Amino acid sequence: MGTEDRKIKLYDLLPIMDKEKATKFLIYGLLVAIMFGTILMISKSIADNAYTWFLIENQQNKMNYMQGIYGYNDYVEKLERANLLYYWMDFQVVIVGNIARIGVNIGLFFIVIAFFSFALNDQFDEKSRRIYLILASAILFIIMVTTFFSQIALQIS
Amino acid sequence: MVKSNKFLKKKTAYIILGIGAICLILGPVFGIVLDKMTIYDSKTESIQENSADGMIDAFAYPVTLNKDQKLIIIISDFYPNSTVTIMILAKSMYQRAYSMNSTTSGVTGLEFVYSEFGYGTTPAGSTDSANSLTLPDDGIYFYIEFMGDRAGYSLISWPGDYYIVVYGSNIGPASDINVLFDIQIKVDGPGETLYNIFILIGVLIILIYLMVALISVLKANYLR
Repeated sequence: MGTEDRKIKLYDLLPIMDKEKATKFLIYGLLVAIMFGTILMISKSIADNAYTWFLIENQQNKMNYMQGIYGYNDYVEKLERANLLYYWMDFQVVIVGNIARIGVNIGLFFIVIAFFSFALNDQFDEKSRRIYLILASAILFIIMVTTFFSQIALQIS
Repeated sequence: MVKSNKFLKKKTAYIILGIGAICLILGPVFGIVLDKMTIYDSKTESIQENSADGMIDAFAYPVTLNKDQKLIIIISDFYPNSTVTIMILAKSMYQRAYSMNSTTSGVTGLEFVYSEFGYGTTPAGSTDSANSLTLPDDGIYFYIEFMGDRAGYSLISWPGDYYIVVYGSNIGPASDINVLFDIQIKVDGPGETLYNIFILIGVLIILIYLMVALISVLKANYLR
């Protein structure tokens, strides 16, 4: 039956995935994870430096007023807008961070599938397959930890 | 080889990303150019001494202000013997004074805020308010902001029709009756709105394209 075929297809895909396709999964998984990870880092950097940006913007605004480029009410309006933007720069990391987390997890999921496929591929020797299985399990563990806990940080100093 | 669809063709990508980039460039350009619109700019505006006696002879420029729209007047008087007074009147008040040719100096103007710029003072410390200013008695260069009314140094928006009125006198020889001054009148333009719209459109175009491109690569190669 056609319906049954489709059901089996989804799960059967993984073990029979050939080396080339699994490598593609690995590369694209890495690309997706790196891309979303980079977005997250940029977002965090923006949030971390928001106050310094605000100080510069405030000083520039004051100096523009002092030079007579605009008047007092324009100065106040620009100051209020700078305040709003500063709050947004601080807050955007929450929105971007959550989207990036989903993206990174999708990327990691692709990598896990790739490593599982390597581990199930009998073209590799026993030792390599074991390493791939450990790597896949480790990444899966990372996905689970980062999905269910948000306050875990690894500090290297 | 990575499969792709028409969305990822070089030409399409250049066009879509190009439109996004153009929007991001146009936003700040419109923002700066259309931030303030000069509606009247006169170097050496000339009125006569009798402008102080009757509203008909005073300099008057009509302005319509929308909600949250600011009027900016830059007035200066660097001419010998000229003394000018500037005030802002509601259209109804001006038309009444005009029809009766009331003594201009007897009419009370609306409250505005003006700045005396300089380094070292806080913006609030170098700002003041008045309902009329006389040049050169109060100063010879003023940057005036007006929206209808004020509370402290903050402007309150009263949208409507107004008249900028300037009258003056000449303290020179009796034969010299001309009163000269420079005036520039500006209003808030659509710069800020256009800036926000163009930046938003530009960012959305680029983001949506990148997301669609990423999905189409994944779909073409793995999700079938």
